[in-house]
Amino acid sequence: MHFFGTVGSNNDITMLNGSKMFDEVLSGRVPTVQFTVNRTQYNMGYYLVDDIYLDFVMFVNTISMPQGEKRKLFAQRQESARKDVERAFGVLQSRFAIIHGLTHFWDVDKMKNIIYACFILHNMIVEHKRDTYQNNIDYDSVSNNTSTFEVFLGAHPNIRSTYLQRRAQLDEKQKHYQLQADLAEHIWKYFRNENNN
Amino acid sequence: MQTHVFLRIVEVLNNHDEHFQMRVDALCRKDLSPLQKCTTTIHILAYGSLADSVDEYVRIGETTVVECLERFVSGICTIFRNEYLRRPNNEDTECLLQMGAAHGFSGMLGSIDCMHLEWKNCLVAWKGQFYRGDHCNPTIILEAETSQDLWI
Repeated sequence: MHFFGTVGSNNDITMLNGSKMFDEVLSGRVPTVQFTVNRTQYNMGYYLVDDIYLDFVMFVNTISMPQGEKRKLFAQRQESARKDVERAFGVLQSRFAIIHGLTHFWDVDKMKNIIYACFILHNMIVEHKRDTYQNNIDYDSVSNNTSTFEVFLGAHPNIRSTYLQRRAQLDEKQKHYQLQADLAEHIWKYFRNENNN
Repeated sequence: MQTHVFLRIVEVLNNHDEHFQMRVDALCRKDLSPLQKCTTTIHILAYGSLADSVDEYVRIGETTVVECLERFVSGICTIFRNEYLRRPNNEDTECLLQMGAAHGFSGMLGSIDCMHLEWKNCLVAWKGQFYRGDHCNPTIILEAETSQDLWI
């Protein structure tokens, strides 16, 4: 998912409100992901974000100034997992110098096309290179390690609920913190020993 | 970018847009080949170089290069957009979830961030709109969602 925006006084949050990311969620057309973390069941996938984003159910951000080993481990793993997106921008910019430095074009639409074209070429390159390193991840050992969750895709259970209900569900702060806490427990359970080594 | 990827793009563009085809003018002189046009465009995209920096090497004029760049990017966007900038379908989602689980985040679909791109030639009338305190030039924001293998 991607968004290219230009309106003034923008930051990451206002960008997100303007982007099309939530449209499908709010219209109930998104494939459901059901999974269980720490004996709690969730039916919506989530994204890792940094501190500035709001406490939506779909977002998991890190714990700033973590207290205690469990929270520290969670923060560490969240940040190390989230660096993918930073890496992606780095790779994109080093691959296409045209979006690295100052942009010299006059027209917003032209720049938009250029940037989308760079995204597309980048994804093409990723697709062709993917075969070479995909085997490095050993999914078998992973699934043995963390056998507590099961993921399956299906129709959204709330497909009949209205737009406003779905919107309200997104905003539930309590669920957001519960998911964060459950994930912290889950990671503490399975990755604590790995960290000691 | 590997050769076969590049050649595939050239071939598809050749079929899509007649601007990239090698045509013959009234004096039976041959136009530039699609390879020449695409090479310069990729050169500009990848090195951010000026439009006339490759005219010695590829023997192509500056205005032609600018026109090629515009047509190249719009062509790429129309042809490949549905395939390479699609929303994750069921298979993709499963793959993403497996990657997330490898990190210990079961149910994770990816990460989100914004990137700022500085815009030098921003019109003065628009400067206020695009300005932000932490950059000295007007900026444009990109928001993207990526997975572990850097698919955007």
